[in-house]
Amino acid sequence: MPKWLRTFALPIALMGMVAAACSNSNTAGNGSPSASCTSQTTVGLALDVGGLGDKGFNDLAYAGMNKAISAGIICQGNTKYIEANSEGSNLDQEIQSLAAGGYDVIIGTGFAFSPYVNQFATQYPNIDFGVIDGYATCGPACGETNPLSAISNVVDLTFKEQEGSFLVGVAAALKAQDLGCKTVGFLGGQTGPLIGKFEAGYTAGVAQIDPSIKVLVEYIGDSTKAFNDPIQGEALSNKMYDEGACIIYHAAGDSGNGLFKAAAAQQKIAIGVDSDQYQVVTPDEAKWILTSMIKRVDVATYDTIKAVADGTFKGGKDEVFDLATTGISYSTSNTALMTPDIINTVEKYKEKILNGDIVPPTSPKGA
Amino acid sequence: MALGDIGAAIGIAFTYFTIIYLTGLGGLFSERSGIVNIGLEGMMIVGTVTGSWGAHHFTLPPPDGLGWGLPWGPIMGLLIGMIAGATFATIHALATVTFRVDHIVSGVVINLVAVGLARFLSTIFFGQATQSDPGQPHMNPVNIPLLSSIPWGLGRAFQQLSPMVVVAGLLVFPVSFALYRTRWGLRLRSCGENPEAARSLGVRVAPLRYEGVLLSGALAGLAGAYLAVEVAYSWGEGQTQGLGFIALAALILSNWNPVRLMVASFVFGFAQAIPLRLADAPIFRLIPDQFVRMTPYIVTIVVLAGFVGKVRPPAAAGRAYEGGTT
Repeated sequence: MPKWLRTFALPIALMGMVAAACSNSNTAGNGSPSASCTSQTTVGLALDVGGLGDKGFNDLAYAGMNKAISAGIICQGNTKYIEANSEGSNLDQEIQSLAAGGYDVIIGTGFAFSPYVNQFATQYPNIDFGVIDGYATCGPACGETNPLSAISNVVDLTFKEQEGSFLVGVAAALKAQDLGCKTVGFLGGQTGPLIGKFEAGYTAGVAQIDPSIKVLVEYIGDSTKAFNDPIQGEALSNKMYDEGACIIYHAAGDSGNGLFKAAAAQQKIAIGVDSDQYQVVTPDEAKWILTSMIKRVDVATYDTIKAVADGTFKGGKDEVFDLATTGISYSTSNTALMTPDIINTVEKYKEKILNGDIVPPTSPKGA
Repeated sequence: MALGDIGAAIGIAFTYFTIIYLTGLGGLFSERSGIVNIGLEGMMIVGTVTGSWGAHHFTLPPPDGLGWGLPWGPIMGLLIGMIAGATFATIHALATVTFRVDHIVSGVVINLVAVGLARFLSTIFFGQATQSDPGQPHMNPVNIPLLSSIPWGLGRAFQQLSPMVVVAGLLVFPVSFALYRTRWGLRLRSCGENPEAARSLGVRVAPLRYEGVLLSGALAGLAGAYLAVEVAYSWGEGQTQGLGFIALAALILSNWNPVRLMVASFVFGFAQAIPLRLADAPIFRLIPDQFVRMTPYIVTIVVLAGFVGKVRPPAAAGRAYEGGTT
């Protein structure tokens, strides 16, 4: 073997392995395909950074698709999902390859898909698109190519996170009063308007019960990496607990695991996000989780698939999921901390939001 | 700012110290034997995913009477991370020692392959590509006797630490002894300084370099496993956050000396803790938040720029040794 070849053979061979390992795509579901399934609707799911197993976004969207399969709305063999790489730099390729595959409906799991969906939607007018937390219908005002009028096949699936955050803020303030403490905390992931909705709603909920309670706010960073840094999440949570916070609410993805660790070590209370996190962490951490703000990404995904299958899909708009449509809610599974008194009061405020007496803010004060 | 904040910052620094020191020791063994190892980050990544699998897989205690009350899940996780790191490092050893590939090229490839390999292993282990499920067992945190009761809040630094922090700190003794007081250590170092001379005295260079690289992989794998098992309590893609490269910087600053490496690792660990804990301290309050957040990187650059001329790497590190494979 010539020397130059010997020098490069191994690296080149290994590079090939990397390339092979970097893209994942699969058909959904574990169960055997139902023989009676006759639906012709095909579904493509484009997953965001975090991937399956994040107990949040991606898992919930996937669960929504599986629910549609088990309900017989779509057939398992007609579905496909693609996972993002760790930097999220292949989101456009995900959309493009699913669109080229001719799926009837394509759902992007995360706001970062918005510009690509906006871009490709005009090329594929027969495909219906949905973007969770999206702003694809925003058009040129958000720096996108196509105006709303050109993309009647796109729907943004957005949530009023501020409503659920308001309710967990109410619960936090009530619990803080029980404990006789005057400070609570908020741990955000990436700075920006999305997590700002969580912070604003939570702060307003706390102030609604007791304006004298101070809300400490810490953000982990300004990139998507901020959602995957439990060491910093733990350090910042410990800091807020040390500064007197007795309860911390997080909207920080996997970094929130650091909060639960700090809560168990300091024996103080935490509030989860997206799914009922009481159910998924270790028991010694779970007992400190008061409640979780639940965002039903699965409902949004299921509803969109169903609408397409039924032929009732209407694009070119912003489909909002909120308390009224049960797209947003809160968990009550930790009965040791979430007492009936607290639940009753929270329910009262839920009514007030539902009938419009209270409108939780969407951006934090001073932002 | 209270002294308690400094105590807590030191506590955070201990976590980073453990990761950086273990990985740095790995780099030390490799480079002292003459093989430059910039693949430390990749070896850590392999340690994280396999370590997390070990902790998940061995959750059930061994049959009655054989458990000795020890947390077997985390211990097996750490051991498996170590073994996997060493196994993965074999590729680097094979490439650089046997096939004499450029050390930097092979190291870069190790880092790239690790990302893909971790996804591949994760799919097998956890059925999903980018993370394990939460709820993974971990060791009970310990308070260091005496030190944890230092008053004025400084004792905070020594409370609720993973037992691995202590293990990492104590490693300096066996490592220094092995490197400077044993025949094996002398021979390993001579391979890094002048392999031709070592060979002429009957030292078998290639096996020693293999040992250096494999130890390197084992320690980096252990650091990764510690991160996944004892710090994050789960595996997540990208959780090493470039700490393998910080460890390389600490290694250079330490002049390839295990005792100085402790100090260097702690300095870098403490720099990581400053924006997290001391951003409200009187000195830092005057500086815009963005600059405080840059502290770890500024410290790295300043320290390396200030010291790099004064350090001397092992003379033969990075140079291929053509004297046969024995």
